[in-house]
Amino acid sequence: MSPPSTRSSRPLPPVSVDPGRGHVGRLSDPGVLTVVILVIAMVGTLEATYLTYIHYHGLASLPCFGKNSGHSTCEAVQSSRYAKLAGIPVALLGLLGYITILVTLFIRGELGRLAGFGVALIGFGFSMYLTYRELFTLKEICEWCVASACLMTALMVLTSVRYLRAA
Amino acid sequence: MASRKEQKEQARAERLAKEQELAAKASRTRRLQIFGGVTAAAVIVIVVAIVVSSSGASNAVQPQTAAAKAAAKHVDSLLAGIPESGNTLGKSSAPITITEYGDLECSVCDEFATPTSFTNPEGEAGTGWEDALVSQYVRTGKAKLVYRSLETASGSNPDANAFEQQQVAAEAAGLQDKEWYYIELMYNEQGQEDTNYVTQSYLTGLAKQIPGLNFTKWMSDRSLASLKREVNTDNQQGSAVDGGEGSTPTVVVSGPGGKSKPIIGLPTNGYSAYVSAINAVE
Repeated sequence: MSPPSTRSSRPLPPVSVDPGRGHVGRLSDPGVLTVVILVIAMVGTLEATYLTYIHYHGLASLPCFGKNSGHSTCEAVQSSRYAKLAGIPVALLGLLGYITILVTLFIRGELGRLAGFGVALIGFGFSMYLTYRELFTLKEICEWCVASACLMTALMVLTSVRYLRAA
Repeated sequence: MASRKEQKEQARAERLAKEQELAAKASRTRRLQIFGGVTAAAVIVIVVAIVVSSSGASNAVQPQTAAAKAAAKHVDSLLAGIPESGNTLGKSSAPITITEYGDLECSVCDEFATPTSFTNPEGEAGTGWEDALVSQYVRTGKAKLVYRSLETASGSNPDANAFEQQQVAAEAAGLQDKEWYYIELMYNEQGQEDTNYVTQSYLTGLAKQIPGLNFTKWMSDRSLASLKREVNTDNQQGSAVDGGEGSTPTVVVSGPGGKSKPIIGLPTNGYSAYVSAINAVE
């Protein structure tokens, strides 16, 4: 068993989760909380990557439970004016957000924890705004967007706990 | 009794503990201040993002632009020579009646109504299906098209009066037998859903593109209570037809024998769904 990387003077091993030991290779502060944040951010990255791909390759192929006027509610939300911010697809912005949160997990010290929380808070706030638009302006629900909003909410809570707990 | 040395060590330990406690407290305070600062900065970023997102352009075609002229030219050639009466396009004696329940802001209705060369502000291409129905069935006298109002997308317009105003504007054109011209123009010059592009200048801009429309009469007719009642009646009737789903376009194909076939939304099997419905009710 290798010791926690933060105390190792040897070359660091590649990122790997060891459930038996509960620590992660190069993470800044190995622990269950960090691993949970890592997993959630990775799920978010995968989802946002898929939505970004779909955005540029045709929304019609996006699986969706909701139907309205013969079209999927996910397609309606993803093609609405709120799906872009200053011309940039929000799926792409979300992807950048998740990747940034992942990167902050590998930055040691207060800066990494703080940056992770800041990005997650921005993602959470904007997700809440988009959910409001879905419910009260578009009146159509995109399950993919709701899932991302839930992931961002969890990340905001966990990154804030991570920062405050380190005090 | 503790020796003097022990007393000094104890006092030193107490002092160190107190210093550590103060240092820890100062550190916690500093961290909380930084936490608050980052939260405030994030809130500012969120507010800016919301302002940018909320102030996007509606992308509606502006009157007198090349796009508006192209739309008017298309509608001209589509409707030229076909009789119009009120909300009906085609000969009144046509055996088949195709009733479209639509919302003039609905982008799906726009897909139904516009040619394949057209792309709406949502980036969706027209199907050309309604144009095909006009060419193959209405122009030949086999069917007539009737337009009725059903509120769907307009419900997302920040302006709660937009639906009534736009539908009444079309009906006011219908009093001069130009309702279908107004309908087709609006579908071909639609702005983005859920934006408040349906302004007075937008509505009057459409009317000014209709050849032969008495603009003064149209402006005056828009305040008729009878037209508002008609929009409300259509809306209730449409809700009953589509089962309260709020789906537009809802198309009902009715034959001379009383048979009718509703088609809710855009059919997945395309234009052939309308042809099959017409054949089934003939």
